[in-house]
Formats: sequence, structure tokens, C-alpha cells
Amino acid sequence: MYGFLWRILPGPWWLKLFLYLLVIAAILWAVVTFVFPWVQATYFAPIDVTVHG
Amino acid sequence: MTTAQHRATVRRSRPAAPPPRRRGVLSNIVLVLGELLLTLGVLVLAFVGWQVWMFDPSVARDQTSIADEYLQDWQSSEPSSNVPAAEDPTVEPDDAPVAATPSATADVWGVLYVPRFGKDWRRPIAWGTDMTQVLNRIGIGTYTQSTMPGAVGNTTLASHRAGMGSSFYDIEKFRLGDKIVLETKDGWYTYAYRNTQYIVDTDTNVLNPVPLVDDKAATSRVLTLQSCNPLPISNQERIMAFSVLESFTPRSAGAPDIVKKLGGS
Repeated sequence: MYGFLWRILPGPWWLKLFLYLLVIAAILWAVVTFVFPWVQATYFAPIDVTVHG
Repeated sequence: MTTAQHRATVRRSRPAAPPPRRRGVLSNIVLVLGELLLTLGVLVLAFVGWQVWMFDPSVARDQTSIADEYLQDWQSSEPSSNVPAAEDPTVEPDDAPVAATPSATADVWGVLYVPRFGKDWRRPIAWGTDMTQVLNRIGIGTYTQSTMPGAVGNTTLASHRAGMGSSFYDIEKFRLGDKIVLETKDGWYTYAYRNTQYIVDTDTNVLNPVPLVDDKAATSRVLTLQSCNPLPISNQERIMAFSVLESFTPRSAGAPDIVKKLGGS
């Protein structure tokens, strides 16, 4: 997976490295912006804190 | 060993060019699976970090800015008619005006300052204890059975312990006599912390005029802060921190020193 990504990226090693980091940064951004809030809302609903009969 | 023999040995021992590496399908699947699992592990750790260091503080910041909006408005608002125009900054509890009862769920009617929770800790107090409208968004809710500050009886406020702003995270750290200040548009109600009790969610008599005591007429003005217990994420129990009204400061007299020393606006 990671090796495959490295092989398909074009250019000399420094360009590959730059693109590689760019791809990882983009994925992380998407995860933090969309995936984490969704997981939070779906699986980590806040618990009840009140007293009631 | 002759020279010819030696050359032959060298030639023979030179490593052959490695054959092009070709992994089988199975080993490729295992490789990708392993990489996915490692990635998933890293992401789970990242999620926990995101929750604690990014998401929760951002909810807390939103709640604080709601408080600041109201504080701004109240600076220029007309005091209610029942507020004494005294220049005396400390009105005895018996003479404290009773705060107006809000009319609708999620109405913000007060801002709470708890110096024990930190210099910059201030949160809006909304009417009702609705989970989505009040507790998750604004932070602190008010049981509608409560008497309002200034009245003899019990004002009970609920909030999350950990998560959704973690307002009452440090509720167990109170020490006897700690000041708690509740600001409304009319002024500041200063309470002194008295004691903490642990109950369960069905102990609704904590909302009585005399908390946890049935059929007894109240004589003091109690503020009850309520959250869940134990940390970090359990709500097996409820924790109650009780405090008693010490004095009231009308807005015309200016903020009490405890509030001035805090980081608020």
C-alpha cells in the first residue's frame, strides 16, 4: 500500500517525498474534518448527567 | 592455489544478480492488511488525541464565547426593578433580589464563575436540562424545579463532567469556603462552597428546596452544581457540590473583587 504509493508517484526522490507528504497531509485533514466529527457524533454520544425519576 | 584457480573461485563466489522479487498474492494481501491495521491503530490514537486536545477545547471555547456575548449585553442593560440601587457592594442574602425566572428552554439567564476551575473559566447558564439544546451546546443547564438565585431554596445546575466542553470536570476539587459567583443581568450572587455528596440518578429529592431532605421548609439559599461520576466517562453516580449564598452585589456597585481578578471581560 505505502510502497505502491511511493512507486506510482512521479519524479526524483525529493519530489516523490514532497508529494507523499502532501497526500498524507490531505488524508489527515479529511479525517480530522469529516471522519472524526462523524465518529464522535455517532459512537460517542454524550452520556446523561441529570437526575430524573 | 594457482592464479587461474583463484580467479575461478572469486568468480564463483561473486553473488549472482538477485532474481526480480516477486511476492505471491497471499503475501501481498498480508502486507496490505498489516499496513491497514497499523494505520488503523495510529488513527485510533489520533482520534483520542483529537477528542481531548482539539474537539473538547473547541466546544469549551464556543461556550465561553456565548457567556461573553451575554456579559457584554448585560453591561449596558437596565437593572430589574427589584434590584436595590445600593452603592454598597455587599447586600446580605436576606436582601438579595430574586432573579427573574426565564421563560423558555435554552434561554441564557446567568454566567457562572468558579475560580477553583481556573482563572479563565466562565460558562453560560441556560434554562432547562435538555441534552441537545442546553447541555451539549450551551454547557450548564438549570432544573426547572429550581428556585431562582436570591430566593430561599435550591438552585440546581447540571453540566457535563468530561466531554462537550467538560464544564464540571474539576467538581471534585472544591475546598470548604471556595467562592462561586453567578452573574445575572442584575449583578453578582456570591456563594461559598459547603460540601459534596454522591448520589444516583433516581435521587431526585436533590432538587428539593432543602436538597435530599423531603417535606422540609428551606431556610437558606443553596446553589447545587451537579454532574456525573466517576471520571473519566462513567455516569454510574451523580456528584453534587453544594454552596450557600453569601452576598449579592448589584451591577451599579461594579463587579466583586473575585470576578475582577479573573480573566473574564
